[in-house]
Order: sequence, then C-alpha cells, then structure tokens
Amino acid sequence: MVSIETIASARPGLLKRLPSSPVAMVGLGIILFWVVLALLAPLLPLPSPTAQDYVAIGHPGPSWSHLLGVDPLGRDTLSRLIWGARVVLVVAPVSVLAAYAVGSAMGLAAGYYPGLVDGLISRIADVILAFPVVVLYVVLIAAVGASALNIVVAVVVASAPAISRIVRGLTLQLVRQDFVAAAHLRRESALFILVVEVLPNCRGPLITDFCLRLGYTVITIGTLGFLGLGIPPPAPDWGGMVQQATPMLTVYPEMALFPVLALVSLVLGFNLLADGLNELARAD
Amino acid sequence: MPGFLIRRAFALVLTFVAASFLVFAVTQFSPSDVARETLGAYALPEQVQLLHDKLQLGDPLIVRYVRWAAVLLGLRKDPLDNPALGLNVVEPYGGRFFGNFGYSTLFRVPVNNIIWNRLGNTAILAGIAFAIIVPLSMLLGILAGMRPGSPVDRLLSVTSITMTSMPEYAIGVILAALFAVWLKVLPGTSPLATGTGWGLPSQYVLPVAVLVLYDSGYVARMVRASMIDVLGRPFIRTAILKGLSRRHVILRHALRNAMIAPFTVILLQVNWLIGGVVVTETVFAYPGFGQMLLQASLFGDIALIEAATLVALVVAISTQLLSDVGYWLLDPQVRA
Repeated sequence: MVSIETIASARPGLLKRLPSSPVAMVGLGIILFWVVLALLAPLLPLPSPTAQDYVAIGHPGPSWSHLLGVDPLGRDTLSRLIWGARVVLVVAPVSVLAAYAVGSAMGLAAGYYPGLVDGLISRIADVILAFPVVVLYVVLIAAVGASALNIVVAVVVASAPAISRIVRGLTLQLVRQDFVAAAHLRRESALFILVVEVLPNCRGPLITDFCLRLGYTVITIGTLGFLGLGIPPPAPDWGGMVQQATPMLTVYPEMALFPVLALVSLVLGFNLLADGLNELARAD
Repeated sequence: MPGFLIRRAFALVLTFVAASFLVFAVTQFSPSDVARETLGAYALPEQVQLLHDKLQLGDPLIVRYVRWAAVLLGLRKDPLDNPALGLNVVEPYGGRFFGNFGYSTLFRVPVNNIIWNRLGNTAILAGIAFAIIVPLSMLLGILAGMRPGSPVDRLLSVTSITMTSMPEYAIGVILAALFAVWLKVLPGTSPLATGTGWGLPSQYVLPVAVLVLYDSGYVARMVRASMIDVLGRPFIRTAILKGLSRRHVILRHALRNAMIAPFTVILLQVNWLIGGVVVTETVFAYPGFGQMLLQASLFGDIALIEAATLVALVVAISTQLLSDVGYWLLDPQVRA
C-alpha cells in the first residue's frame, strides 16, 4: 500500500527530475531508440516487411542484402523488426491506456462509494484476479479470435482489476483529506471531486505502475504472438516471428534470436524507466 | 481465529463459482458454435441445426450454465452421451458421476481420459521448478537484504530486472540455442519420449531452468524488500543492543518476520507458474497441461478448454486459501 506521504512528495515534477536518474535515462533511451526507428520505418531503405525473397531462403543467414537475414518465408528480418516495432508500440500503449481508463473509473467509484458499489466492483476484481493471467488471455483470445482490437480488449479485462485495486486504495486515503472536505463544502459534484481533486493526486504511484505495465503488456503481446494467438499474419509481429523461427532453431538460431533480443530490449527499457522512477519517488 | 479462515474459504468458493460462470460464458460466446465444433468442419448445416436443437443451445446462457454445472456435479447425464444422437460418445465411467467434464472434440476421448495424465506431467515440471525457486530466491533475497547496496545486492537487482524483462519463450529460445544448438549438451525439446537419444532427466533440465530463471528474480526481490523493512524495525535494534550476535539476530528474530510478506508472494507465484508453464511447455513440446490448454484453445475444443481452465482455477484458488492459512500461522497478529 502506498502511503499519502509518498503521493504528496512525488507531486512536484517527478518527470522533470528524470535526468537525475541514470537508470531511468538508459530505459528512456532504449524506448526512444525503438520509437524513432518505428517512426522512420517508411523512410528507411528497407525491403517491404511482407516481400518474399525466394533466393535468400536457401541461405537465410545475415548477408549484405539482408543485414539480419530472412525468415523461413524469405522476408527480411530487419524490416520486419522495425515495422513490427510500429505494431507493438501502438498496441501496447493503447491497451494500457484503455485498461487505465476502465481500471481508474472502477477504482475511483469503489473508493468513493463504500458499501454496495465497492463490494460489487471488488468482487468482480477478485473473480478476474483469481485466474492465472496467461490462462485468462488464452481463453479470451481463443473465444473472440485473434486481432489487434481483441488484444486490447483482453488486456483491459486482465489488467483493469489490478489497476482498480491500486486506485481504490489511493482514493480511500485521499477522500479523508481536507481538500476533499473543502470540495464537499463547496457542494462540488462527486464526478468533479473524483476527476479534479482525487485522480490527479493518484498520479505519482500510477506513473511507475504505468511503465511496468507497458513492459508487461509488450511481453504479453509477444507471448500471444508466440502462442499463435497474436496479431494475425502477414503483419510483422515480434512474438509471431519467434514462433515461425522456433522450428528452425537447431539450424538457424539467429532467426529466432533477433526478434527475441528486440523484444527483451524494449521490455528492459520500460522496466528500467519504471525502476528509475520508483527510486526517484522513494528518494524524497 | 478459524472464523477468519472459514469466511475466506466461503468467499473463495463464491469466487470460484463466479469464475466458472465467466469461463462458461466466454467459451460459449465462441464464434464457432458448440454444435458445429462437436460435429466437425464437414457436417452439413442441417445436421448442425439438428444437434443445436437437440442440445437446446438456443436457451438463455444462465439455463445452459446450470445444466452444464449439473453434468459436472454428476446430477445429470452428458447430453452428448445419447445413442440417439449417433455420435458414439460413451462415458466409460457411467452416465452420471462427479467431475464429468464431457467429451473432447480434439482428442476424441472423454476429457477425463487425458486431462489427469497431462496435469501429472505438469505437476512434476512445476514441482521441480518450485522446489528450486523457493530456497534459491529466499537465499538470494536474504543475502541481498542483509546488506543493501553491497555488490551481492547490486548483482541481484541487475540480474532480476533483466530476467523479469524476459518472457519465458525468450529465455527458452536463448537457452535452447546455447545448450542444445551450440554446446549440444541438452535436448532442445522435451516430449518425454524415450526414443530421442536423450534420457528423461535431461529432458527436464531446460524447461525447469526457464521457470526458475523467470520466477526467482521476482521472489528474491520481494524477500529482499521484506528483509530490509524488518531489519529497520525497533525490535531488531533492541536485539542488537542486548548484545546478541548478528547471526542470532538474523536467524532468530529477523527471518520469521521477514518471511510473512514474501510467503503470500511465493504462494501467489503458483498462479504465475501456471501461466509460465503454458508458454514453457509450448517452447519445449512438453506433453503437459498448458500445452494441452493451448492446443484446445487453438482447435476450439470447448469441453477441454472449460475443464482445463476450471482445474487451473481450483489450483490457483486453493493456493490462495493455503496462503491465508500460512499467513494465519506465521503472523500472531492475525490470530489475536
């Protein structure tokens, strides 16, 4: 449980003091590296991520025409990695933001209305959190079908309860504060109090959780792709690339290792950023 | 008081019932209709419609859920187990029995004939991994937590943040590339078959290693945080000021208190481990429960998905109850 003290002290510009944490800056650097590559993808001199080079299939290892080699279908690995970064860098933040919208609304309502509303929301969260996460994802995606939108829906279903628990705990502490009592005296509406007075004060602890969750969602999207439940082919998807390359592991291990390294580096970026933010928040 | 435990047990049973309804609702939502899945891709639309009507699949969801739960509890016969349907579904255990999960359309046998064997394989894999994870991560966490900022502590935090950034399949691919492809000292797949030239024990090494590497860092960090927290409390200062040796203070006073918080985390790792097992088994073609769940999901085998998810839920929820019991035993404040 995060106490009020850390919330209050984390308020003056946690993000502004970011440069003072080397760990966070390394994380941010890795993330920006992938963001820039993803943005520049259409401008870079790369073959199309779905174009097949049938000649290269015979010797799929790295060469001058394919710097990181090709996949079992003869598609350029470097191009698929960079175009794949676009997919994961859109789907992951959209999923986490959507999960935050739903989870914060649930948590604010549960923390502000004790009794029936809180009981109902907390029980729903209990039920979903009882599932092993991967099992929940597999069952959900298998039922609704694999697509980018359904991945977002699955992430919302699986993550919103955990976010709602954090927000509920923070709300419970914040509604006892004087500034909320003052808002009550001004006869502000419940919606105003929750959105304008309470929610901004949850920011500090939530920023760290947001970064961690982004990293975790990148893992999830990769895992779903690896299990054959990810973004449908031929779209370049890192997890899917590992899945297609795994049967060739004994012959061409680098085919699977490149997408694995890409994914690990991006997740590491988010985790390092979260770790740095956490250290900064605890330092004051 | 046991009253606390009874209330928790009751709440967990309710959670299980609600979760089982959720599983049922999600699997029956499936775009591939139950009747279509049962008959296969080559059945005529009329046949599908006929079975759809005979199984009363047009009824409201809640009615179908109660019917399904009645079959599961042994109060009702499986509607597929009816010679008039001509499906050749025969339950070897008789029509009505507790734990009737129905008939797998993927394997063409009753779900009970495959699920327990697979669960056993997974229990062996997860059991070995767990038996390594717990002592290893406790040892690392205690060593790091005793002297925060020391080289051991730094090494642990760098390693664990790297490991938590790696999905299980990434660890699996890297380890398989290293030990199976380049060094050729271990098998790259673990089908538990004997004809592969590799002994059974060697087939366990890589899957277990993946689970251990994936999970230990996280647990070790929890133990470390708890250890640091406990060592800062007044009763530890009192013990040191009394003149007790450092070893005595750590072993007798700090450890028990430092174990309370991670104990819950460790048991909740079982929940994580179930998820990790799905991926790890897929990487190494290990014939376990997780691989079966994935196959069932990709194939659309509704009865098998439901059964596997329910069993996973029972395991997850029992560990929650177990962690409550342990918490109650370890922390006298809860008992008071």
